[in-house]
Order: sequence, then C-alpha cells, then structure tokens
Amino acid sequence: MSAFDRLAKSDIREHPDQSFIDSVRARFPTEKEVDVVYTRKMQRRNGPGFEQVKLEDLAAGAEKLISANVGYDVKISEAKWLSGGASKLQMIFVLHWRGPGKGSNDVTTRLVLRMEPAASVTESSRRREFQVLKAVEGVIPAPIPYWIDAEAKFLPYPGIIYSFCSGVAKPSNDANKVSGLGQNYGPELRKKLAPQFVGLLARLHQMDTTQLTVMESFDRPKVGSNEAVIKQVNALRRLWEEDRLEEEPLMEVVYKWLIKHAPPIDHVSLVHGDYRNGNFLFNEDQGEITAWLDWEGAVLGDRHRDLTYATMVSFQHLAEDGKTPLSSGMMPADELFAAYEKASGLKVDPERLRYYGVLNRYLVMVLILGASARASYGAKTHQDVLLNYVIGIGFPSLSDLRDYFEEILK
Amino acid sequence: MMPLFDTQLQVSLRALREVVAPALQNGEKHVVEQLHLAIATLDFAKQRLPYARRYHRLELENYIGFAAEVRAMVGADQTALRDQLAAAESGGKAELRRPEAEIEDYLIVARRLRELIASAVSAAIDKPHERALDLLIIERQKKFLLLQRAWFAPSGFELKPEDLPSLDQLLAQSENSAAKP
Repeated sequence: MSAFDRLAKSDIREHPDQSFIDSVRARFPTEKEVDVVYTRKMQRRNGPGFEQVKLEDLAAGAEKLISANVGYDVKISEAKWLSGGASKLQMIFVLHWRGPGKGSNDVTTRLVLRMEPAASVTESSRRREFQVLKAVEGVIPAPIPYWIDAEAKFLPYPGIIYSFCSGVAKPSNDANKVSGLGQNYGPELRKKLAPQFVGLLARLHQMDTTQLTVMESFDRPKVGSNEAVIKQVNALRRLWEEDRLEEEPLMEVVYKWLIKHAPPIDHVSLVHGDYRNGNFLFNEDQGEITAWLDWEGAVLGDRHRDLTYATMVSFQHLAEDGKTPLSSGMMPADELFAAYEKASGLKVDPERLRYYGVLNRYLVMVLILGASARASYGAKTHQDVLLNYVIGIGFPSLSDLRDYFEEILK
Repeated sequence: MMPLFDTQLQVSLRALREVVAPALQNGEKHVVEQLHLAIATLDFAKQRLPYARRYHRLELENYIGFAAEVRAMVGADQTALRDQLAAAESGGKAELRRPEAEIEDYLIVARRLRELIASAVSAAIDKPHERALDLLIIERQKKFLLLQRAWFAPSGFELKPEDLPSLDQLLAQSENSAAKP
C-alpha cells in the first residue's frame, strides 16, 4: 500500500459509515431540512465522484421536469453553460411553452437551471432556495422561481429553474475577481449602488416573517430565545465535523464560545446569508441593482448576521485614498451600519455585531477549509480546480478569525 | 534517466501557457477560467514541491511539542486522553526518526495529534484548566498560522505578502534552533 493510500484510509470522513453519520447528527442537532441535506451529502460521499453532465442531457432533463409540471410537452433551445457559479452548475436556455397563463402556444421565456453537483462548497437545500425566492418575490429584485426538482427525479442532481435576470455581476473595468471577492465598482458606480445595497438589506430585514408561509422548510426562531442561533452554529460545526481534512484546534475553541455566548434573537428577519459585493447583478449604465443572487444560505434569524458578513475584511477593498476600507466595496462599516439603522428602523447592536463577526468568520473557515477542501479532494464538483485553489484563502482567513477572537476575549 | 518532477511540471506549464491558453483566448469563459486555475495550481505545486518534506517534518515537530503542552494541562481525571496524546507524540517522534517515512506518514500522525488537541478543548469544558488551555491554543495557532500562510503565499490571497516571512526563513529558523545544543 502506498503512503498516499495509507493516508486516504486513515480518513473516516471520505468513507463514512452509518454509525459515523448518525453520531455526528446526534451531536450537532440543527434545522430539520438542513439535517436532511447534510445527511444526504454524507450518504452520497461513498458514491462516485461528479461526472461532467452534457449540456444536451441537462436540457433534456429540464424539458421533462417542466413538461411534468405544466402538463404538456415543452421544448428548450439555445442551452448554454452560465459561468460564475462557484458552487452550483448553471445552464441558461430558452423555453418554448404556452406561458404562465392560458396564452398562446408559442411563448418563449429565457430561464436558468441551477443544479447542485455531487458535493458543494455550500451544501444547501434547493427546496429552501426555491421557497425563499418565492418569499422575496415583489419585495427584493431576485430571480423568480418557476419549478423545482428537489429529489432529482428528472435531473442528475436536485435543481431549480428560475427566471433569467439581466445585468452584470462585475463592472467591465474590474472583472477578474474570483467570485467577486473584494469587488471594486469604482467611485461613480459606487455612489449609485451603495444606497441600494443598504436599502435592499433594510427592506429584506423588515419583512414580516410571520406572513412568509411559503418558507415551510425553515425552522421558525422565537423572539427572546437563542435556540435558533445555536442550531445555526451547530449546522456549521456539523459541516466542520463531516468535511474537514485536518482539524484546526482553534475551531473547537471558537465553537465552544459561540454556543456559550449565543444571543437571543430580538427580531426575526429573513437573512440572506451571503449578502456582499459580487452577489448581485446590476445595470452598468444606470447603476441599478437588477437582482440579488445566491439565496441558498438564507435563514430566519438575526439581522446582524448579514450586517457583519457584508462588512467582513475578505469583501473589502480600499477607497481611492488608499486608506479607507470600503465594506463590500460600498462604504466604511460604521457608515453602512448608520445608513442601515436609518433605512430599516432596526437597531444595530455592537454586542451582536461582535458575536456575528465571530460566527461569520467561523462560517468562512468551515466553507473553505472544510467543504471546499473536501469536495475537491473527493472529485465531487464541476469546479474542483477552483475549490482546491481557494483553500489558499483559508489561512489568512483563519488568522483573521484568530486575531478577531483574541481581541474579543480581551 | 528519470525526468525530475520539477521538469515535468515545467514542461506542462509551458505547454498550457504558451500553446493552449492562447488558442483558447476566445473560448467559453468557464473553460478559460478553469485553464488559468489549473495553470496556477501546477505553478503552486512547482514552487512548493521542493519544500514539502521539510515543511511537513516541521509541522509534525510543532504538533508534537503542542500536544506535550496540552497533555501537561489536562487533568489527572482524564488519563485516557493523556495516554492517547502521549502515544501519538511517541508515534510522531518515531516517524521523524524513520528515514523511509513519507510525507503522508507525517500527515497521518500530525492529523491524529490535531484531533486529540481539539478533543482536549471540548473535554476541558467547566474544568479548572479550560481557560488556560483555550489561551494556549490561541497563542500556538498564531505561530502555526504564520508557517501555513507562508506556504500558501504564492496563491496570491495575502493582502500584504511583503509582511510575511518567507518559507525559507521560517524553515531555516526552525532548523537552526533545532541544531542548537
């Protein structure tokens, strides 16, 4: 046996048995739908790696999915891969159908199929993504969800079909950032985008979550309780337990602190979960945000989670003066918080900012040194080379978590 | 004559950069992106391959020392954990002495030590040494992170790479201190 084989054999997480899967589930209880998705991921792990899907096969699967939903045969044309998704496969196509009403026989609609690979940097539920897109329809500009294949009856893996949104994710003068990290929009666009960036976040967090009955796959937090926060921390801890290639002892210290200090929720918000530069489309001429993307990490929870995420160092760049950090390429963090309070009427609590500052840094570590590293090691995605490369961000990020956490302990 | 791995990576990189990449200049965006990432990955491997054995030996040495510090803190009521740490430390020292040991052998035992140190953290909840152990982890991780960040510096994700010591410096420092009587 080669040394490499010996190393692979010593790694229980790459070939988990049922007792390993069950023990991790029991140790880190989380939301019901999250449990379903993570358990399925672990059961898949013993299966084959991700096999590249042919575009024509995906189009054929999408045709079957839509036909089954509308009750008649539809046709798809102009299918193409859509680049930009680090975690999901995306195909853009034109659907020939009768339209949403009783219309004519030749309606054409441009749509996007978004399907998960065998494993992902962000393991998530298509059912939840579909529901949250339904929930924000008409409130926040976002893709309109049409159909879902939650159990992969028609597609190779679970997927959803939603509307194609026009716009660009990166300005033409700075289009080379990986996944839009640290995206610089430039001073002119920034002036137009920044108020929308804050205003839409405020609008999202103000939504009355008690009326969002469509979000039935989400556990509902109780105001005054920290139970939901603990479940969200446990979801991350569970991913770390299931995915890591190597333990980083600091992660256990931080997890313990996150559980012990979980703050009760004072107002339940719909939290986007990945609210930052690079995750929205905009019209470059008018500087108008046309769609918020990547809702798969959405939760019902504390608004401070989005606020601290949007202001993380990883998503900053310096302004033209060379010294002012602009959170998500928009404005300094303090200005962003003040503008948000004004727009939302919701308080920004420094204590909760500190807590979610730790939580979001912990989350980034789990996704990079856990999920990304594992998925690419196991050849489970369409973007293994990207997921493997971003492991390099892991150690500056862990250093950031360490330094931030050390300050808090003082 | 067997070609060096360095030469094999060099010829592959030249082919990809000078022949394949120009031919794909107007190719599909996601194809071009993956090509450039593949080039960057091979280039990283070319830069780090010559250091790999020394790096992994040093990392294992660090974790052996770290585990010994943790073991000294763990209470007398946790004898099983202390014994596991001691056994893994001995295993690590044995691998460092074994000339035939491969990088993956170092990794196997270093990973075991990492897991045991983390389990000491969770086992310390509400014990007298809990805070001291947490602070030790935070402090030690600082030193280890410097080495890890120096290793990954060629990936290009450091905001101020000029502030990091080079991998050569860190490895040399460690070897110098180990050589002192």
